[in-house]
Amino acid sequence: MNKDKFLQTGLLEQYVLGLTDEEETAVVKQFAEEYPEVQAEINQMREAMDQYARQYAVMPPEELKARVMKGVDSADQDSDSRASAPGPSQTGTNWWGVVLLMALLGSTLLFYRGKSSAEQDLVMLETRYAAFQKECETEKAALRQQQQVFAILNHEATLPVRLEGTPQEPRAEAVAYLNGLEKVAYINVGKLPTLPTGQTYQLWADVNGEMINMGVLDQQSKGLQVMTFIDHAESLNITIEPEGGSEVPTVEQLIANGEV
Amino acid sequence: MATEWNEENLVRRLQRKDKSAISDLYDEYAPSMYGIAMRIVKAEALAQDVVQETFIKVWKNAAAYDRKKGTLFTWLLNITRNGAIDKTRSAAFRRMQTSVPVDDKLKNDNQLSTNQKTDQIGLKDFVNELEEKYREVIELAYFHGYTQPEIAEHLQLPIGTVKSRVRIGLRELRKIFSEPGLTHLISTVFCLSLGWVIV
Repeated sequence: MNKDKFLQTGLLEQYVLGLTDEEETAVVKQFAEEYPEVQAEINQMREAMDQYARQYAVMPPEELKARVMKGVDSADQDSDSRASAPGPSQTGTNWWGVVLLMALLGSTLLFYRGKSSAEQDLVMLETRYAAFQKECETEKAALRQQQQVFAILNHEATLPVRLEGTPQEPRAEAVAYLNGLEKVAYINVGKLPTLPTGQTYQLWADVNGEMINMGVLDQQSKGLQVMTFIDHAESLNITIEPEGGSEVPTVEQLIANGEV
Repeated sequence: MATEWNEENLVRRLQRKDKSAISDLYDEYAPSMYGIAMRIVKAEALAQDVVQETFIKVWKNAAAYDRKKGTLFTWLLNITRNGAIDKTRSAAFRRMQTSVPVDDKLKNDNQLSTNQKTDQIGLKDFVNELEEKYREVIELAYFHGYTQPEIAEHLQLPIGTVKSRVRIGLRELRKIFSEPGLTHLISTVFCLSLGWVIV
């Protein structure tokens, strides 16, 4: 096979992507050695792949660098201790060998004694690490959820609706967030007066004069609450209802409302 | 990006067992390495292990690096990639894959979330320029270590098609990244139009 024909085969591209088998790899290497322009071709393709890979760069967490440096350090210590093992002495100064052997024996004994406690430590650390990792995952999931809420609040289609107290309960105040694109509704009920037991607040959407249930408010929760999203609401209304909520709002007990 | 001199200097320091070389290497290349590892193992903790192990291998085997066979970056990426692919083939990884569907679900759910996209550095620029059919072939080979028959099976394509997509895909990729050519063209057009204005 001549060089031009070889370039036509597409073997070079396969080689760069690690797709060639042993035999094909040998062929490519032979051509690359013989023809500098083939090697240049390979280099260019690799460069393109490197650039491609670079597009996926992600900033690693800051602490990774310290971990890497530490890993390199301990790798060094490993190989140091291996390097200090007595090998066949070339100069004939066997004393060094003896000293090293003694030192090695001594340290082996020490290490052996330390080993079992180290193993115990390791098991304990592993358990703690696993627990820690699990905790991290939970935290991360919680954070993601928060981020989703945050993203919804910041979403351009999110419409805040301020609900103000009616003459019956002028102190009442709440803010709802509606997102028609994502079909989600949230409400913040921090400023509603506490109800006696047996009663609850309920949120309603007014659609063409009909009050549609958006859900019962949980008085215990202080943050954002997820409510049922109702399309084409003209206003949002909060009434006081018997515990568990009602099918139809008790209009006399309307304590806050706001136009959408 | 490391200049020629910089890279040569780094390699020399690395082969002299100068630990500050690792620190510099890290600053220069860790984001790319971490990105690749993430792309393959899809879990932060594992990807960090891959990066750490890669640097340890680099430190131990610096003497084996041969400039003639490719750039330092290529070498680093290869070690990262192989390390990450090995991880995906381990039994522990498979176990983990089956036990965390929740995480995947969250990932799919967060079209609204802002964090996924912002921590990737300039991803959208070039990758998307490559047509999907070439990209998937290249990614399966490069990121997942698939062989050609495996790719053919995975994508349900004849092997000949896979081969030709590999070939065209890499050619396209080279075109996309051969920026100097583009700059040259733009400057030529600019000079010509300048000349035209002056005349």
